[in-house]
Amino acid sequence: MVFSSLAFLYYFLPLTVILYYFVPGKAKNMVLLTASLLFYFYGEPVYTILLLFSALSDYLHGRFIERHRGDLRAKYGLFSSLLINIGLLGCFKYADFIIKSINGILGTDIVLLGLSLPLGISFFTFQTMSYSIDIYRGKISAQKNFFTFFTYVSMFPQLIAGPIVRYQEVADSLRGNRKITIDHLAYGIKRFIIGLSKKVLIANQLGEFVLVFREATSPSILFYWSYAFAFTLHIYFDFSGYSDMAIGLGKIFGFSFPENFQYPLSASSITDFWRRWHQTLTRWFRDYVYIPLGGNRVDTLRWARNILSVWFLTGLWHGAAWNFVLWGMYFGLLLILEKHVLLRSLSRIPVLFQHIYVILLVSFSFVIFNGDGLSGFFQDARGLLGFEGIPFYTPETGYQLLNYAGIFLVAAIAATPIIKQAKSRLYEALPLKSVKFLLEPSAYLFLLFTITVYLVNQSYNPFIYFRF
Amino acid sequence: MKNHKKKANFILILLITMFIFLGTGLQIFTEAPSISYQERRTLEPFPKFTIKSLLSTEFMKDLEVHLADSFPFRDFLQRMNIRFSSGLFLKKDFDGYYSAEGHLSKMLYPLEKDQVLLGAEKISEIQKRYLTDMDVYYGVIPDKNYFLAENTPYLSMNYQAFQYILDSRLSELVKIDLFSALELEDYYRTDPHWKQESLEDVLKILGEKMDFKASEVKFNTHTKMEFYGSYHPHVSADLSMDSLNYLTSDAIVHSHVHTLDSGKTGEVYDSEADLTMDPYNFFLGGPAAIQIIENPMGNTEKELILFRDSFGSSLAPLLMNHYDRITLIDLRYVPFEQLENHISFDDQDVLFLYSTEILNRSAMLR
Repeated sequence: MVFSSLAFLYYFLPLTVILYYFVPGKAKNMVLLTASLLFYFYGEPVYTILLLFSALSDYLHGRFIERHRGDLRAKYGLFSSLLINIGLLGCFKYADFIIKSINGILGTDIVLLGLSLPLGISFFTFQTMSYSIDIYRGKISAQKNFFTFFTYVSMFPQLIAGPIVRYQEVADSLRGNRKITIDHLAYGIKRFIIGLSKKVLIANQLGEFVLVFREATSPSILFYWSYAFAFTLHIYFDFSGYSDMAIGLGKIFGFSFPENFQYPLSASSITDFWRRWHQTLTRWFRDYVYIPLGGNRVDTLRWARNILSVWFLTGLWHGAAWNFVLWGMYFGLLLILEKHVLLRSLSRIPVLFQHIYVILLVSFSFVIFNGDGLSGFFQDARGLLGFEGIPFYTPETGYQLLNYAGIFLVAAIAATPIIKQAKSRLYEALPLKSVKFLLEPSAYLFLLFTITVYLVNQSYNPFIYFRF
Repeated sequence: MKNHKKKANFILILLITMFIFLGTGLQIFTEAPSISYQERRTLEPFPKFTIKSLLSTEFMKDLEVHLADSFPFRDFLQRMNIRFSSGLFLKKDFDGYYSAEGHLSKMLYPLEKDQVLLGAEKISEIQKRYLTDMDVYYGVIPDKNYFLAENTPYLSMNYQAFQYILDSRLSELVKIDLFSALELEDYYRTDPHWKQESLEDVLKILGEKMDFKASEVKFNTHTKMEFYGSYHPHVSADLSMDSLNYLTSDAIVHSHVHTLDSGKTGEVYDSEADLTMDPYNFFLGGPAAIQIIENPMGNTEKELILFRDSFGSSLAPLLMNHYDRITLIDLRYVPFEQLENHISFDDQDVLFLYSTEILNRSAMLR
């Protein structure tokens, strides 16, 4: 099930919230678990078993590791847990990629497995891996109650597309320490509506532009660049919208999930961009890969190796294709370059040019990301750089830019903190108290109405990050 | 300050909760229509539940469509969607539909060369199989976008290339150029079709090529109803309704139409047809694979076979003064291989009359 659907918004969510609020404290986890399994089953009936298996495996491994913490058996337990999680990913996500690569290199004809990718597998396996590692490191205690642990693994607000929540961040709430106040609930609703607006009102329309570009009969260099910017905005609003919805839903159910985006397209360098984009994934790789490899407390060569290893894996995490690997390595190299050369130069140029630098490099990166394999990316890159023998401008480009100018403008503004700042200034400037406390609820109601209008008529609605 | 914030939060929770429950409640407790007259389609019913459909997620997919189709005030929300798209996001078109120069239209873009070639080859095949030694003509009806795109930013296909493909592939047929015989005002404002009462120039040019004198016939004009055409639900524009007018002459009044699909025989203008979904059904009763219009009082001793799309329904009655019998064939509903089972091809005149929109999607011709 997706959040941006009438089934979720008008049936699943209200029913779950009613049940959740009306059952006594101890039963709340059961309601959340049942709802989460239904939520997953609705989108992926068959693989619900896989989710159960993953949770059960890590629950048992967690107990085992804790019992033997400090001796060799804990290490074996951790190794086994990681092997199973990576094995699941390898089997369902990477097997065909590996087979295709072997067939391509060796000229063999190994048959592909052809398994469909279970929804959210990259997210829930990373969560459970962090759980096992943290128990091994003695940072957390293993959960004794399987159903409580299963609730953590399958919690529907963040099950399918993150943020990647660590067990310690919700352990207390899972034990029942959930304080839900009017303010928390209102914050959750507001955050959810903001996320839904990002997805339904902005991301989906930018996605339409991307489709229009892909189907264009007279492409141009300008069209290629517009596509690059549109897809960058599209993926930002799609993914950050989902994270907003997850965080908002978490609040509604009494949980605090970590932030995942902080206006990344307003960053002043690529280093800064990755401090603001998909923060929970970056944090995961930092804590479980980069630092164990030695982090930056090693010589330059090993540090570069560590960076490139992390970004190779980050690329691969996003998709089982070589263009994702290239995308990761592209950022790895940029970060190395920034650290040693560019950051000092960047700090000396005007802020506007810093932003332009980030937007251009990030947009180019998402052309790699969204390419149809490496060959698809090379074709797109040739189009961007004018090597495809196409004109700079065509009437089709002009018309489509005019047609989507409004959404581009809204997206460009909404990708910066301008609206947030304007909202607080407006709120401060309003003279009447009564207007103040009616304005905000009315604005959110209007947004919800507009979202409903678009959901009733929607044609384009896939979440990009569901495929990871 | 804190107190006000709490009040605002309380109002927000109340408003949002009420809005959602109102939506859910209305959807559950009100009966959804099975047909959307605005969209001219049947709406998705509640899906049939089976274990197979559940495990394959077909049930869920159909449920999503059903929920959208049966949502309360759906027609109103659709209008709002168009208004928000144009008002908030300044969209120029809505799924290709747009409003310009007092007309609603749809972008026909791009030129699908393969499709036009396919259409030309189909016509050529029919000509070789059934129509050798017969007088065979073809004409193409331009869509409204042809007239509007020149002076507006909207995209249009390369009509020259379109005509070139047909001209080069159908050189054995006599071409009738309808592009020069029509102008924007010959079409309804809110519908893609041409107006029957505006076909004087079309009849004239057909007469010149097909050897009949169109100018000798005088028609009486009547108004059947006011209506909004099929483009109206897709575009936000404050346009008045179109008038569905129809023309009569003695030949038309005496003629009757026999529909082979249904076995029904009736008048040329079908008052019993369901006009709520599509008022254009008034002409010959709407879409049909094969229809025969006959004028028992006719004395021209000429017959016409008209391969056509929906535009032909309003034109054919006007030709009854020049033909005693017209056989209308819509290749979207009957494969051409089956035609010999229903029609004997002798020495009739033959006219292929298709709109640009159909020929640009010729795969639908069977």
